[in-house]
Amino acid sequence: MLKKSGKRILRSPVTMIGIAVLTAHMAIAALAPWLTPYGSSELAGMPFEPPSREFWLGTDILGRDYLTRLLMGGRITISVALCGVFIAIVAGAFFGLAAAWHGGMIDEVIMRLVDTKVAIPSILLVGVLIPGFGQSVPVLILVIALVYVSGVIRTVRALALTIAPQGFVTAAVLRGESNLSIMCREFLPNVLDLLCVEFAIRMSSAILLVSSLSFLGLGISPPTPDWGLMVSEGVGYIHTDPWLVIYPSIALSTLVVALNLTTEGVANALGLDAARGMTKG
Amino acid sequence: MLLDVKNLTVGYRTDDRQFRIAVDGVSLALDKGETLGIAGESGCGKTTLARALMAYTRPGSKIVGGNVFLDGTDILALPDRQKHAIRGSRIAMVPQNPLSSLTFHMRVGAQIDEIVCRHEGLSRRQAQEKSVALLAATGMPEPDAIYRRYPHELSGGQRQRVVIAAALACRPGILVLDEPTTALDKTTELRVLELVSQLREQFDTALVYISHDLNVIARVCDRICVMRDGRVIEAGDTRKTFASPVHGYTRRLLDAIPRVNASGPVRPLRADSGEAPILEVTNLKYRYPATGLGIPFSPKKPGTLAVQDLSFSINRGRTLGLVGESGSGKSTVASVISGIIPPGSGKIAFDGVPLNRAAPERPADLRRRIQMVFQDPLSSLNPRLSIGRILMRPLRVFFAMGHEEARQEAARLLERMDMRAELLDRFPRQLSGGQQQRVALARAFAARPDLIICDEVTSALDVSVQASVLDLLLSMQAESGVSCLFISHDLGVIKRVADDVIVLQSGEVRDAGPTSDVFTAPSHPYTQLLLEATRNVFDVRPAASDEAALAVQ
Amino acid sequence: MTTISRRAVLKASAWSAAAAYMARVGIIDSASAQPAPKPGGGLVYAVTSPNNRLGDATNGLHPHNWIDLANRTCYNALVWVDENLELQPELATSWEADDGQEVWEVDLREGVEFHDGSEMTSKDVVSSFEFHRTETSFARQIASVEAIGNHKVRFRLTEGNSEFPYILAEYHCMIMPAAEPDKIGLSGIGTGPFKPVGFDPRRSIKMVANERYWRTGHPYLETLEVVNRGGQMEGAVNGFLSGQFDAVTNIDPGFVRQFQGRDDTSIVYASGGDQALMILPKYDGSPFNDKRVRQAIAAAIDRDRIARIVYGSDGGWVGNDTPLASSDPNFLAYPYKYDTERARALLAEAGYPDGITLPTFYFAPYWPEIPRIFQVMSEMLREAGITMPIEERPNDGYRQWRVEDAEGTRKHRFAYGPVGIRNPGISLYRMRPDNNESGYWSGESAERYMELYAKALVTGDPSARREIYHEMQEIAFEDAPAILPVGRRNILIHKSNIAGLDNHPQAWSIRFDEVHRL
Repeated sequence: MLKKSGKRILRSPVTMIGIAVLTAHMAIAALAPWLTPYGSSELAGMPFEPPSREFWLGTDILGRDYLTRLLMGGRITISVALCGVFIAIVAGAFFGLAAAWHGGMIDEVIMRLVDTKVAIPSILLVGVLIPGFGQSVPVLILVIALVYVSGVIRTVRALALTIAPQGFVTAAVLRGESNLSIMCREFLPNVLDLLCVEFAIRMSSAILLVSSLSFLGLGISPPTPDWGLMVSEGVGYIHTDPWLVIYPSIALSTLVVALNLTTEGVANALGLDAARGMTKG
Repeated sequence: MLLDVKNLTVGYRTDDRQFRIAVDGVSLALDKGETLGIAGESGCGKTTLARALMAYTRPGSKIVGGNVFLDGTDILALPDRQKHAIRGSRIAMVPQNPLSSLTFHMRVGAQIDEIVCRHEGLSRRQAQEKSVALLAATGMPEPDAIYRRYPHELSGGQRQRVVIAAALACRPGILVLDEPTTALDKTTELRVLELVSQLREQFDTALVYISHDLNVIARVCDRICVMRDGRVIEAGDTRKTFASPVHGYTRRLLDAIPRVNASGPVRPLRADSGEAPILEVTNLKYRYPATGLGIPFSPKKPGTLAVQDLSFSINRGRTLGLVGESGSGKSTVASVISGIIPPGSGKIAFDGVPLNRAAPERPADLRRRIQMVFQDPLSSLNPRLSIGRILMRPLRVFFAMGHEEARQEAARLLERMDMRAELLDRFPRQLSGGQQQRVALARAFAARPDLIICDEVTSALDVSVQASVLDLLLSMQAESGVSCLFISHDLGVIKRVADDVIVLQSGEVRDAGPTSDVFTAPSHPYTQLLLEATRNVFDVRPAASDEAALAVQ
Repeated sequence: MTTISRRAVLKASAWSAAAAYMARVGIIDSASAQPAPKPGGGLVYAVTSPNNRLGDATNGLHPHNWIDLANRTCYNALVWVDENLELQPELATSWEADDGQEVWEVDLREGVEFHDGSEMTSKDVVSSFEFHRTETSFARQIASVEAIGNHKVRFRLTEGNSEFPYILAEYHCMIMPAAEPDKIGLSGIGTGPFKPVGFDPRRSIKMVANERYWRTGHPYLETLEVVNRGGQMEGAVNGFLSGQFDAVTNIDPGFVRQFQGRDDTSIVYASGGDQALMILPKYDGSPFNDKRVRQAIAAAIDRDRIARIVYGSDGGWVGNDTPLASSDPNFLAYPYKYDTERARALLAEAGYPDGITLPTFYFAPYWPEIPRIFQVMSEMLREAGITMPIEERPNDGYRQWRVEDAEGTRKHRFAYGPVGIRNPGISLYRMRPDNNESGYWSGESAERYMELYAKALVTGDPSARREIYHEMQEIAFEDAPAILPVGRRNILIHKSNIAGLDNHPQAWSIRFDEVHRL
């Protein structure tokens, strides 16, 4: 089955492009500190220097090497999004399964909380929480987790509700298995696919959210290199030095598009497999 | 010739991009007013063929060769617009699942109106009149009321009638019915079949009737095509084909059908051991729990009474058949005994121990001794766990076996079920339906139970597979001496496995006694109706040609 | 090249600002020599400096709540500080102090009318200052104020202050019609060249010309609108580019690049502007209690380089760790060189041989370059083994947040504070021990500093005062109570069809009397 999915991915050029760009981004993020001779916040030259042998993409408003900042700019965003979404997925899976399996009051309480959260625009929530708890990376991670956990709970619960009436769950109940054992053994393996896809989908959205927050001054603090922050720093010079905005925008959009292409391709390869298996005949 | 299919070939692209043939060079012909049955087991290509008759294929499939002549015109060669115009007006289809072919948020009347309006260009008023007339023609008592209902407000039979009415809206020359009654109860099926025959004459429509159920085809069709692996392996007059099948596969299919007729094989009656019964149910009543939001003080609807005052017992080593149509309460009985739902009022004693709690609160040993096998084998096996893990779980839970020991035991169980031990590392989806149900049986027998509850275990299987699973169950039972509560809507199956039988309708017992007695001399009219509906009718309905032959004589 | 842009270029140096002042002194004459400005038309300008008081204002019409938005559009003070930081008479015509610089008598201009037509007399001035001396920190030194006839008032100070007239020019000290202290100023009536007609200070203030204005023939404009774009530099500049605004004050030096060489835009540099103050809190347990740590930070900062990176060649000036501006005649250049070795040595001496990690430094983007200044500083400090994490805070409520309960506990944050350009009497007073801007500086040096300050206050002779001010600055160089590395030169852009709009190092002292359309 995996082999088949793998083949299907290999055959889709769009997915392959997505994977290639994504891999490149990850490699750059991992190796960035060793790729250029400058530190990311080192005042290497004078401000607004044009591209040269020394500074391939020129320097930014403070005379820092722009290429270095660009290469480093994805690291924090990606890590924050990764941690936040991971927490959201784990917590979402737990609460989603608990809501679906227990039903009754637990379900009601969890889902009403989720509804409440959904009714509040994310940006508003973030705008209140971050100034309230102070602007720091752990707070940012928790806020990202909070933004995405409700969606995960909903999707997990929806799928779990279709699993709950199935015979194998009833069989487990009749064996006298504990709730935890049923959730881990019977439900979890069946929602794992969904969780992976959820993870990837939320990931691209979370990266955009972190970047927007940085742009608005609520996310990553200077002098940490960050694409959203770089756009926000450069936006005042868009008439004279548009590259300050264009480079980080390209970096951000290629990452998000690549992530989406990869997610879609892999999900298709995995998801269609399951769907076809069920509707065959 | 009304419909002439020549050498029709349909293929589809598989997951790994290979091209497979689903319908392989099929030729058939249909004359005005004729009825043609297409029979075959799942996956034989009969549904694909039915669609191709309307010049339609599922996405991913493609008609790669052949012709479909409708009144002499090859409709496969027509442009798309004309194909659309033909569908529904000259050749219409009744699909398998009536609920999925009706739009759930539209009143059924409006859905028929739409078809009438599109193909005949009538005004809304005229269309409405016509729709109500059509609904009346399908034998529904209050067509005006039905017209205004939503699909979910109708019963299964009513829905199927609505779909048939919609299909007949434009008086098509040909009506293709794809398993129209498979989702229905036997008695409902009988009524729908009668309706189909009656409408055929009234509307002078030729029928193509697709079914896996030879019994149904025998009731409705003049001629039959038996399909296997995309080919027509046998075709001819229905009666003759059934009387003397030429192809071995057709014969096997016919033999595999469990027979209710006296001529069928009768299960040898097992001797009553005379011991106390393993299960004794006295005055069981069960009402569904009240429904509400689950919030304190929110309004609740009282539940309906599913089982009324039911008493029966199962003797050791014997099998009790529980017969009934959907909604008769038979699954509720299974759920109460197995402990899926908490018991209602009344007494249930298992080997002298009262079963007054749901399964999670029962002692572990009690849980082990009562095992259940479910209707849908695929859904009863966790698709993400290997067969080995599925079988090992009860062994580890009930007998605290170590990993290796459990694995060996699981392998032994599989072999006992006529399956290779290599399957331990496979996943449920990689198995056929019969294999899946055998794994489910093996899981139940792994607990070494005293009572096994089989809830419609064969209804999702093809007839040939069904027979082998039943044989396996019987031999396992003979070997282990386990008692069995066997629930089914299929009298043929019940007759094959059950020593005693109870007929349930609306939660009440209609008939009870040893299987042979009930089936040969039914005491209740409902039992008679059920028997009539299930009876093998290979010789019930004289084919049109025979009538002609008789007339000549 | 138009006259105006030539003028803008001239303004680029302090000398030219002096020249402009010379022209202004004889303004009536020069106006008759040149073609008289055409009256009429309106001006819409945007201010980009965040106005942190407005959010708390219970009544925005009150001059205490206008701050640097536009006080001198609707109000006048007794004295005006011109573009070269020299005193000019406004509602006062002359002033005189006794020998102890404690009693000041001020003659008032006659024939000045408020917007409502009532005449401004000493009664109004007394009433206004009765309010200011309790509500304005700078004016607390006024012990009493009394009227001497209709057009003369006498101020008695708690102690001598040789630079008292500067206090009278402060943006809070506007003259309002006499009223009870809890009602005064709420009417929005002043003596200024414009009258407010639409007032929503979070967005804009709309004004029309005051036909009763005491400077006959002024203002030239019929309408004036101030649009609040506090902290929204891009929005203000885009509004300017799209023609929504005729002028934008206090634009970011980085933005100037796009307007250089454009015929339709004039760039006007002021002789100076705000400087960035790094407050070093000196409560118990603070690393800044140790003089050597403060000196190390001062030594590890390359002031010239910061100015060059942040302000480019002509947008800024180098500070000297006192709140005095480089354009002030009393200013002494910072004597020490940038020296990381010295910084490391001082740190080692203070017990940090492997460098030091400072508490997080906070700043708010009052000016767009503020984040840049401290990013650059943080980088420079790193080279000397000083790690300074920095964090940006929103402008809203920043001041309160940074000060916390300093009055009570003396505990406050290691943070940025804005420092405006003022006369030495005010600027050097900022480093007083009981002010959080000095980080509650204490010790012998601080005592000596305050002794000198007290002496300066009663020294009437300017050159003698200068000596004292130099000595005070030298104390600050040595003891480093705070760090003030660089300052900005305010930049104003306006359309070329506007004339008479001069830039001012004190944003609140910009006047619109002379502005006219060409």
